[in-house]
Amino acid sequence: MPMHWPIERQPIAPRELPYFNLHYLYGCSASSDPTMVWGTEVDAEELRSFVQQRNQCGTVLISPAHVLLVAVGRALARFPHLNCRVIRRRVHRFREISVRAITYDPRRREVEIVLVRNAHELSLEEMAKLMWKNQRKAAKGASLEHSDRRLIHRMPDFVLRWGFKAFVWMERNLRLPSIRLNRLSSAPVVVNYLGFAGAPPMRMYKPSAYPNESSHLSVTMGPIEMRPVVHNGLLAARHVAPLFVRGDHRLTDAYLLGRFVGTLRDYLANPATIEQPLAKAA
Amino acid sequence: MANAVTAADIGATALLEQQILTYLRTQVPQAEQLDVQTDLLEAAILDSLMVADLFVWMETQLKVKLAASDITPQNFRSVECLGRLVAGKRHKEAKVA
Repeated sequence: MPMHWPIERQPIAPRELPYFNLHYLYGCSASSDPTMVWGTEVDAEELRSFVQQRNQCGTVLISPAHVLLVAVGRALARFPHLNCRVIRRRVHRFREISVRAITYDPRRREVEIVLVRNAHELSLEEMAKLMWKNQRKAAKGASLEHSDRRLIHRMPDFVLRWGFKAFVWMERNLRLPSIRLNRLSSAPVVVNYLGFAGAPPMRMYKPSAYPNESSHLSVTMGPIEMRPVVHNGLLAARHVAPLFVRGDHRLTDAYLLGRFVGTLRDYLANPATIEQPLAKAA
Repeated sequence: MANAVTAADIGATALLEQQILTYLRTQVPQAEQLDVQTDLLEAAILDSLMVADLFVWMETQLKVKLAASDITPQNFRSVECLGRLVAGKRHKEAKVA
């Protein structure tokens, strides 16, 4: 009987893999995962009607993802302890309050990351305009990620593997100036809105591990759906959205993370408050 | 003559609407019941990924130049509005040419 090899002999060439898979394949080596994930649910009734109302009279199309980005920027401004970066065993504060927004290109199976600087100062319309501009560029294949990708495709596999290792090592161990290569590292948080059309209900979500090698804080909101909830003491069917925040235990503790999640949840449940002046930092 | 042009315009817009409708039906699972007047935002047919996708598809397949500032609730409200947007852009481009 001929021997059956269930797995192909040749591995997939690294250059064929999406950027994020390369990152976790070759850039990560941490043996421990100092991560905590706080999952909660947001009452999204207000959020839905807020977005609908804005889209009735506004001049730029607003989505819940844009509200989430502004809310994260403002929540981060209130929790400066989380606006930091661990380099080696030292914690450094960021000079600005920036967030990284993740969008996805399903045709290329690639994520596109947009660095939004001073996110807490942007209005909802400014955020939406910025994101549409970037998403349009990305969808047309004209973003910086695309030109990076073209460069990666030209690299020999071993250069790619060792290049990733070296880059992530430098990122972890050296306080680097912001250059094109690490342009996306200038924010402590990555924001993901997974409420895309056809997304299944989200009950649990584990964002990427190893904050040492990715992001110290990760905020993910899932699809809005109707669920039975207790509202004002009565059982009711309401729109709710899952919200998961992953924090790096080297920067935060459960108390601080819980308060951050609570603040973010309040902003999302009462989105009109994201346009009010910022409250004092916690 | 003017009437004939208007009729041709209407026909062209209807064709555009059909093309957009067909594209959306193939891309979005819950778009089967979609018609040209369905409120795409209300019915949650369009999320941010789909808007970007549709935008590029319109540029490449329907051969119109769009700007990020065209991503407004008015333009993306329904297939009818999208058809009108593309027809308007084409009309402008033809005028310039």
